[in-house]
Amino acid sequence: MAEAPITELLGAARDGDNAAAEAVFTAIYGELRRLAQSHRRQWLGNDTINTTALINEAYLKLAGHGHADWQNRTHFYATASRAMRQVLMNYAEKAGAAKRGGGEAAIAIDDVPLAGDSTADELLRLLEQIQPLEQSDPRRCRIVECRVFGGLSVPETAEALGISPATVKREWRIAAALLKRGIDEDPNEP
Amino acid sequence: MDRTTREAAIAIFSEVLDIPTDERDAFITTRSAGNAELANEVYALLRASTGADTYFSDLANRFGAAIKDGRDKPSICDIDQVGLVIGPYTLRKRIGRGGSSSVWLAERTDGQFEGSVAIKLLHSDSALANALANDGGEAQHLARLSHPNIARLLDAGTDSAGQQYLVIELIDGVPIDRYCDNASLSVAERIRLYLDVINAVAHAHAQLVVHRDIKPSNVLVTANGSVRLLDFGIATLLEADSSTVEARAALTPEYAAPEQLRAEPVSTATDIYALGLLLYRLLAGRGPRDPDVTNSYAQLVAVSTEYPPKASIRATASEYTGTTERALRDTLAGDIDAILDKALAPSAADRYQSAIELAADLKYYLDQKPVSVVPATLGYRTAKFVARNRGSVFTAVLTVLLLIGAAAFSTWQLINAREQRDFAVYQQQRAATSSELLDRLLNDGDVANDNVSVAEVFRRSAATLDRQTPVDQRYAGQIYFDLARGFESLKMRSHELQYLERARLSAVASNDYDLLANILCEMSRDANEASATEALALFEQSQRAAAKVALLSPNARARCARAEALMLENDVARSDAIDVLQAALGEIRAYPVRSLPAELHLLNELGNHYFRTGRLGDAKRTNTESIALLRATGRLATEGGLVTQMNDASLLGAFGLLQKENAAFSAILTMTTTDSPLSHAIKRSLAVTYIKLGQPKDALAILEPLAAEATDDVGIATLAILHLALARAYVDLGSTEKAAPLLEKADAVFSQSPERHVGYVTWLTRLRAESRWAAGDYDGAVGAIDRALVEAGYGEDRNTASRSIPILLEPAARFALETGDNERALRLAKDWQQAVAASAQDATQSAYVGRACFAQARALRALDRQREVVASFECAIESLGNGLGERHAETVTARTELESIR
Repeated sequence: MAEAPITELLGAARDGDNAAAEAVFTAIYGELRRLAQSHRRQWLGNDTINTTALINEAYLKLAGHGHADWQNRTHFYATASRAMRQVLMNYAEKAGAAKRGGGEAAIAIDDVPLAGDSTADELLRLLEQIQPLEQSDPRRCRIVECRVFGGLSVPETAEALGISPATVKREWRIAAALLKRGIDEDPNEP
Repeated sequence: MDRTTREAAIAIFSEVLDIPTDERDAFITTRSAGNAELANEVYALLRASTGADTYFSDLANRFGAAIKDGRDKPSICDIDQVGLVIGPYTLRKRIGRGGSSSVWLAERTDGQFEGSVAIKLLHSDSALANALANDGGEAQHLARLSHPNIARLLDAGTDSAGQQYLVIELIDGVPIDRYCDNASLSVAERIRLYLDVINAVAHAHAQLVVHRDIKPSNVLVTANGSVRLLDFGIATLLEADSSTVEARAALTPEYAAPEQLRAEPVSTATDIYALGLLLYRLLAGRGPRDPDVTNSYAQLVAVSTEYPPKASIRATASEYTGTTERALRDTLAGDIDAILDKALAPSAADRYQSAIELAADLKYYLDQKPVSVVPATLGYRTAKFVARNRGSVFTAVLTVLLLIGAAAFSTWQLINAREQRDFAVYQQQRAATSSELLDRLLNDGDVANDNVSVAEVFRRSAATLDRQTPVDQRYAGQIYFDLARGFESLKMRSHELQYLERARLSAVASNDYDLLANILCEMSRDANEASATEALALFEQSQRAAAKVALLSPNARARCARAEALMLENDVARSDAIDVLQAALGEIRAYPVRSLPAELHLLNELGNHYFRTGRLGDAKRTNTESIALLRATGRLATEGGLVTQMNDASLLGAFGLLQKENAAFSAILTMTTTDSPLSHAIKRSLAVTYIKLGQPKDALAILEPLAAEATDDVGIATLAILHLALARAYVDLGSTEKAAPLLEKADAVFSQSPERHVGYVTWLTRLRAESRWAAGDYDGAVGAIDRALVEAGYGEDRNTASRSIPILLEPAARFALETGDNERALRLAKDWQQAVAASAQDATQSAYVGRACFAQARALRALDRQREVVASFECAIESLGNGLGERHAETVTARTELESIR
């Protein structure tokens, strides 16, 4: 287990070390992918797993439950939420490509089976809605990642991103309405 | 829509969210200033916002599902396997499916055996399959499990195609949770059934096998109600020299232990955890984890690091019958919560160390014995103790608890902060001492396990206190005093005096003058019987102590007033006694904080004084006040409450309302436990009401057993009163030979202080006279009654003031009637009527008045005074009808006799 490295990296990333932040992201992303696959094989008892579960498990794997420094933990979740968005993005693109009968996915998640097309479509559209936020309002984008992919509560999101819960709450209400409005809009509408 | 409009809409929308719903329309209209597109966009966002919460909270699950294996879709392979021959078996139907295996209903087709079995086909990469492939040892070990509550592994092997399989006894049953709910089993029945599951698991553990997947669907109950634990398919064999094994695949999350969720090594403690979850589900009607928690791995991991919510809080009674949710929760609160907590400890080390221990605690629970897990708190053990001994030492222990728990002071006494602080410390220490005392008492093997007597509980309490390390005299004094009063209530006189003296010494040593005054007044009251001089000396001492206290506590004030009243009463200064009591009552009622116990004591004493001085109306009013106070404070069933009600019932008797008196005592008896110190007195009083009603046989049915079980412990006076009551019943039945020795015994006691037992001495005289009459000594009988009447003040002026006189006039009138001295009979009966009418609240309600009228009517009839006789019969019929009942034999006779002369 990569306990010490991730803990150190998280600390460095928090202190503004971009390389460390990148390394954390990569590590988490890799772990999430691995877990997503292993879960498909091992998670036997229940019909649903969720993204939060995967992130949580990734945290346990990477940071180890004995090293649950709260600041590291919240920072980890913020990063993991972003990584999860990436995992889903890759998945959705692959699914979309398969649906369209298109060729190779850019980044393959091996063995990803094709769940209902509607979910993949929905996921794609959500991701499309989020995409512009990345540029126009990065903070709102981070909040959405934490809430949607990380499954973090408002206070957890505030903690993870180092902003006030009131801000998270206000921003999330606006973002959620905007995203939902975007998803509900008929895409074929001119 | 342009970007400006969109941004304006977002700006308005973000403000709208903070505005009350009914003001939003106006706000949007104003802010959009006629721009319909802008307003529409705000509304669109509002609509989107409404559904957004639900939508996003559900999303994490749905995306999880999206990247999940679609393993539950029917596999073409499964269909192909029907009819497949595996060794000597043929697969018929798939009956189950897990992650690493599928389970089939199969039949043996080689003709060797009849019947069906279950066959588990192992996926080639499953852990068990690997283990089997390695050495087959695991199946061998599983085969070693032989227990009536475990489905037997019949065979295991690999068929020619390389398919590994296990052949298992086919169990026709339903999952245990469904079984319990369908049968609507009670909590105790569920636990008994569950104990079989534990036995099965304990057996497996003894064979070093950990099941790892205990859940309702793996515990079947057959039609005849027997339990079978199934599916050791992923069970793990512990290394003989190790207590844990490496984790393998994740399992049913709902029933997974924290270490399984964390992919840590599992051990027998893992099964204990799952057993805990199973028990939780069976008893609470649902598991500790909500479905949305078990759907979320993260939340599951999170909750598994904590103790589960208490079953007594989560329980739902929907699967039980005949119990309410509240009752169920009450049942589960306490022991069951504690047992579940121990089984479901997040850390394996904190759980039951074996299935046997869990079973033991559940058995203790069923037997109402203390379970191992609850911190051995005083209150807990007390509750258990009382539950088991409800009929025996219940009252004693409660009395001890109440005595010791009673606060020594009321805070109103404490003026400055320092005193307040000292008081707090004092209370704390006192509580600690009391707890220690009771703790030891309840730890006493005999007390905890046997039905020791009430008196014994007090003795042991005292002995336990004596054994304690020297304690601060301040609270020792109060406890000694409390115990002394406990002994007093049990009439354990020498113990009482001994502890009063200890209490006094402690009070002196600690300069607690309030307590000292209180104790001295109690001593004075006690001394009264033996020596008026000593009583007075003690009372004077108490007043010197009281003078050192700025404001005497209500308890001390009340007790001293009662002591003073008692002395005055003995000086035949009864009205002064009443004044003293009334003054004290007025004083303590003016205290800043009301003290109900002190008030009730005073009211009770006041009622007694009124009663003894013949002021029955005042007594009745005082009692009514007491009873209202008792009822309002929920104390009717306390000893004090019962005493007051007994007094009130006795007043009904004094008023001649004999039927009501009888009903009242019957009612009081139902409020009493058999071992209540008052039980004897209540039964005796009830018996006497039967005698008064003319039903001596009913009285004997109560009195004879009472006499048989009475010991000297009850006190000689009590015993004498009992003997007198028995004698009365025997005389009424004509068994004067049985009455005679009883009368002798009673006489021996009463004659020692006849002035204190005037009423009883009068009854002795009357019963002896009636016995002589029955023996034919008519002159002797009449003479004895006449002498007694003169002694009681019934002379030439026929003064009927003494309360003894009606008791004597009744037989006097009867004797005169029977000897044909009708004039005399008429005169005596008239005086009798006057005497009893004076003490009745309403003469037309008094059975005594009715009897006196009846006697007059008979005399008048014999004298042939026709006009008066009808009036007397009518008086008799009315008063007997009200006092004894319309259908009482005496009423009926009176009515018949009246009709016969008309």
